[in-house]
Amino acid sequence: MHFLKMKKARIIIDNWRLFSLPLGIFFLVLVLAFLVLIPRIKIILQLKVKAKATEERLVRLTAKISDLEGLDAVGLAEKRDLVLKAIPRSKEVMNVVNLISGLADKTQIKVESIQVSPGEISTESGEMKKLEEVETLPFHVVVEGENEKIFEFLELLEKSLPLIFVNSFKFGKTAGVSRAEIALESYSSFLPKTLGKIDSPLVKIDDEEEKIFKILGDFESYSANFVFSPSSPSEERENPFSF
Amino acid sequence: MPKSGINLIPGEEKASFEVIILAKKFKTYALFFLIVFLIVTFSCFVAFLRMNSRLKSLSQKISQAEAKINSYKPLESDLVLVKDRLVKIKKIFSTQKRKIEAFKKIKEVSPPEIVFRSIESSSRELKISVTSSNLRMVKSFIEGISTPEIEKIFKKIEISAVSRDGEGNYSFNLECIF
Repeated sequence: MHFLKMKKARIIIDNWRLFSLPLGIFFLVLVLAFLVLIPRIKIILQLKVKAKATEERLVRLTAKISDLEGLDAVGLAEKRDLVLKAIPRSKEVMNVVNLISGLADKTQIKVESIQVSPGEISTESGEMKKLEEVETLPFHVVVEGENEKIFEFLELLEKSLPLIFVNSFKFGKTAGVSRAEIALESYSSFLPKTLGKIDSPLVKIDDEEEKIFKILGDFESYSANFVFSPSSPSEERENPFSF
Repeated sequence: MPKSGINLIPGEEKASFEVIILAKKFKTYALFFLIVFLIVTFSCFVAFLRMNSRLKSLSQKISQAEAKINSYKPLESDLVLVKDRLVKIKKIFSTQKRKIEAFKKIKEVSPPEIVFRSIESSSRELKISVTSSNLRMVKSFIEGISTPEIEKIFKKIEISAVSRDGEGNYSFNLECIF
């Protein structure tokens, strides 16, 4: 019995060479699959994901290009100038002072005093706070004249560029002359930081914002016409040093 | 007659024959496995090459698109600036009340005999002291400021301190809250 078993085992060992080739093939395929094929498949899958992302980006960029091509450059430049007049990039103190005195001249009222505290005048290069916010420039103006004229003056102010709003006012009479104390504010804001990023989607101007252009279209920009001069007729006062 | 199922092959030779058949089958499977592996490897290679060339062409297109967008940069900057300013202007318009315009509306609906003695406005309210020589004008004034046009501007309109002086003039305070 033992002899038979030994003989059988010998036969199997003798025939081993018959199995060596297929086993070698299996082993080689498995080794190559683990070492080469699977990493390669992983790379291909990664490339596929990358290609999909790139394709999506291309679609976005193409859409952006078509949107950009559809823009009216001239009209947009006009709108840019208009909104920059409404809210300039820096606090335009003298511009507003000129405007106030110019409108006072126009409406024939007398400017008693203009007080302004510009605060921090930031520069584009400096450290800037509240980038997203609108900086306000408060003015305190005292005027004298007829009530009607003062109201006309305030109305014109609120319809001027840069944007000026009357925060508060108080009308009163001193020695028979109408006098108004007015708190105004004008605005400025830095240029946005996200200018022209390639991947950022193109911003859209909605209908409500389009209406603002119509409103601003009715506003007057006097800044170029008015030049503040202390000796203008409405500013004329008695010289306290002359007798 | 030989009986069916009689094994004429010696025991050791039968074992060897079975092993040879098994080895042949094994060899066939191995070859099939190898062929499949080669096909998969080749497909992967082709897929890799195709993917690479696709990525290359996509990258080229992206570069072209970026260059084109860059050429529109000033235009896009203008648009971003316009949008930024419009958002801010909208915010200012929504928070700032047009007090002068509001007062003008009140004045429009007031009878000519109505006199505004003093007008005062803070950020959220408009206070007007009104005088009239007769009660009919006061009534007409109150009717005028009760119109939907005026009510649309203010949240609340209040009349207080109604009085009559020795000369027969009526006076009262009007408080309008934005």
